[in-house]
Amino acid sequence: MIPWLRLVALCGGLVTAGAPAAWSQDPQGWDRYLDRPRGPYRGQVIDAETNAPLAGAVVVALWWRNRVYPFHSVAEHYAVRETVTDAEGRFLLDAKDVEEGAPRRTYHPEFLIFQPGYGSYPRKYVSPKGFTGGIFEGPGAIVELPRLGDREERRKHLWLFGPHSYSDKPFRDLPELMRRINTERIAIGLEPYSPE
Amino acid sequence: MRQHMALAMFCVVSLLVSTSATAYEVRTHEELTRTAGKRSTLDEILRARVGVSNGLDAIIRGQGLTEWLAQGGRREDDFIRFLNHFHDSLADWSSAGLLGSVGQSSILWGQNTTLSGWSWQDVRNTYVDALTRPTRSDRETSLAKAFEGLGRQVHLVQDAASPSHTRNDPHALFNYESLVEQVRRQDQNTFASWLAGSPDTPEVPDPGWQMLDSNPLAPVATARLIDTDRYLGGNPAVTTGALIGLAEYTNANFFSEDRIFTENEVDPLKRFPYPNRSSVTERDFDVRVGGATVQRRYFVKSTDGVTGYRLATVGLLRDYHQRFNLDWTRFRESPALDEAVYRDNAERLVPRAVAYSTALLDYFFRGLVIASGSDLSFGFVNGSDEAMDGTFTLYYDDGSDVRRPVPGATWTRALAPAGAVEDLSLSAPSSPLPKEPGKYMLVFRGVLGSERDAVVGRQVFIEPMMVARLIKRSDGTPYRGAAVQAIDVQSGEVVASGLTDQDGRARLAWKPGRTVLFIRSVNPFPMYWAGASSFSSSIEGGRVVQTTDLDAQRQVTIPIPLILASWPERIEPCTEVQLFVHQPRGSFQQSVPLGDGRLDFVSVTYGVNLITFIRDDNGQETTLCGDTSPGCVDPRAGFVGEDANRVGQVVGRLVRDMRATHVRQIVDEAGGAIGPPTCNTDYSEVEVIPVTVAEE
Repeated sequence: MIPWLRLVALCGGLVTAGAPAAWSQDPQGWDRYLDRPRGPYRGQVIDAETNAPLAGAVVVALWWRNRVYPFHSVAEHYAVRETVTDAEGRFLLDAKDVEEGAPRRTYHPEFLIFQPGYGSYPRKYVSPKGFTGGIFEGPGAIVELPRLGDREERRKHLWLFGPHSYSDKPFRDLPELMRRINTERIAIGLEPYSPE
Repeated sequence: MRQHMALAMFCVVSLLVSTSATAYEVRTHEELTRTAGKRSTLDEILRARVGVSNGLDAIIRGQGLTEWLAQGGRREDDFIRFLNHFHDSLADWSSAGLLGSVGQSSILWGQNTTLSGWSWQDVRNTYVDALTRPTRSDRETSLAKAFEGLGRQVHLVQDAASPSHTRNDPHALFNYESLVEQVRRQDQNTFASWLAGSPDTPEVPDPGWQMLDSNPLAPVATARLIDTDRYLGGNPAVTTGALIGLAEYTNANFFSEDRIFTENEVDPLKRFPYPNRSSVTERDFDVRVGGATVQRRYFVKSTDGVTGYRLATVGLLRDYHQRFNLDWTRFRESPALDEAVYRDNAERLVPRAVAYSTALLDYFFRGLVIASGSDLSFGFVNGSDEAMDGTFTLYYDDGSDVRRPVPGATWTRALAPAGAVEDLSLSAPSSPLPKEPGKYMLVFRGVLGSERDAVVGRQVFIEPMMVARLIKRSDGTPYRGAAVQAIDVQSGEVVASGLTDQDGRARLAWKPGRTVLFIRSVNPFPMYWAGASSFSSSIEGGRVVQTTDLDAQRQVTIPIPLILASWPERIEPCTEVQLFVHQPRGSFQQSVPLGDGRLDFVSVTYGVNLITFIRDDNGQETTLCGDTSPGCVDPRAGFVGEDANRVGQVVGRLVRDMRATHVRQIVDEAGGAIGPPTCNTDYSEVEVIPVTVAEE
């Protein structure tokens, strides 16, 4: 067989073999993509030990989208939003503009909840346990954050997430997050981030 | 023909891009990489060895170092780089990439200095820049880039924990990696448990991987983290040990979507001997489907390597297949990989991805040099477990943070583990002066174990030392036992103290360009060396010692004048002894035989009402003694350092209120007076006497 024909055959074989194997393998009950706007997102953030509401915690929602090409997809940032909990530790993140205009195959948002001196959601939190997809939809959920101990625990906790994972320009897009991360860094004797 | 070519091109492009979904998704890579960074020794090494005082907390070019690491893990999949992220551990490395030759083996890609742009050696070069580039900005940029490069290197290791990447299986749409990412996003507790550890041990690679023979195609030992060449296709049991490449472990023990029971495949690119049908048993498990619990039958791995988890679902046509004894090669029963299989896989593969990534990060910084001593005599030891053979160079930062090589401080040495270089010396840099005297960056570049062009950086403190040699100005003999201090002229702090030895030498730590010498105990007044044989009473007047003040032995020689105070004394004419002495209550008696049984007896009683020394230059008055004093203080108590420069000059006056009684009498041998006394005179005077600086 001439080389180009072998290549076409191989290509076709792989493509056709790939399709059935990919079929029906999504986890049960897990939606990867937004099928419709799911916001606004609600929740309450409390101290895991005292159950006291945590006012002023920042809540970040990050949407990724899967840009699909023939037999190929690329995950990329779509949008990011932030809000801050009120005196009762509650937050309401209205993402109507983001989600109504969301392209197909936009993932459900990922959340980050952070308050200086506390563990963050979803890197170091107490509850909710188990499956957390969609927990901030509808009536929302209560998130319990543990107060962190010594400086060592607090600084290593900051290694678990970084503002640049949420935005290339976090000072522009996520000023409340940056303010709190810098508050935490200063509190434990680290240099703060500064705008580029 | 043109249409055929176009079709072929379309297929190739489609095929190439179709594989992008097979890697761990980029956010998964990011988190695996962050976790590996946290578990590695990076933080400690950055702080203790490389001089990055904030360790992984450091913000470089606007991002934390953990973010740079994570960014590398995220970006290695950019564009079509993912085509080079496959490695079939059973193939020759030259053809172990995607479909043999569509992409390069991830091992070769990781060491490809021509095409990758982020190869191991590229990262090494960037790390050298981070240690040696002149400007701080360039060094920081290079450090950030080195960390991004390390993130990209561990990305390749992590992909070896993805079955499709080790079984030549480009695959689109939902797959194992999609499930892992989905769990990461929506079930953090489970994902955290995967990160925490594997149900199978060992999950951490045996350090022996570093010692395995290198493959010339990819000589850096990190290749062995992915493929040790110990699993050869017929010995899956070897993959249960710790000395095994991650791709071998994954290849021999797991299925990917389109490589399920392919031990009999005709196409060698798809044929994998293990796991095979003799490796499994069948068992039913309860699974949740659409909200209901149902039983599903699985192939459970029961032998041939790692065991005890679900490998694949049993196909729906399994019974039919067995009942009619159909030919497997003609009728596929279509076992598949479902969520439960993926979860069992991830439970074992994710922790290994982290452990092997951690091993790579630690390997990058494994070299260790320990330096000790002063610049008069210092040495360094190879603290690594491997031999070092290459060039050691010292750098320092000047006051503008410009990093400069220390002139003459480059040594080429071959050191076995624990091998030492001793008795080195260097000239402490003086032009420009260092920002922090004694602080250097020691950079090794050369062979470290099996790595041909390794880099080791170590911030070291080589204490600058000098010798102050004191000699008596009068005769040039050593002045022994003198206390000398080196004082930081900026802070006023004592840097070092020492006593001169038999040769008049005191070895002192010092800060070039910031140190003055204080000589405390030669004369009874403090002296700061002011250059040559001059001295000062104040630190401001002291000579700031420069490296140019030192001779080849780092020694400065100081001729010390031993200062005396002198003033004229009168002789009492009758007794012919000193009219007054500086003693509050003194006496003098003397008998001189005259030869005929008589004695010429002299008796003097001294007393002091008050003696003070008043300096001419500023009128400063020092009380030397009074009537009730236990003794009198030497007038030099009122001297200052500058007086050592004024030998022969009058520096002040003694104001003396003194008394004395001088008696001279001829006595017999029994002490009886013979005749009237020759004299018996009481003196009580107040006088002013000039005091001159004298030298012993």
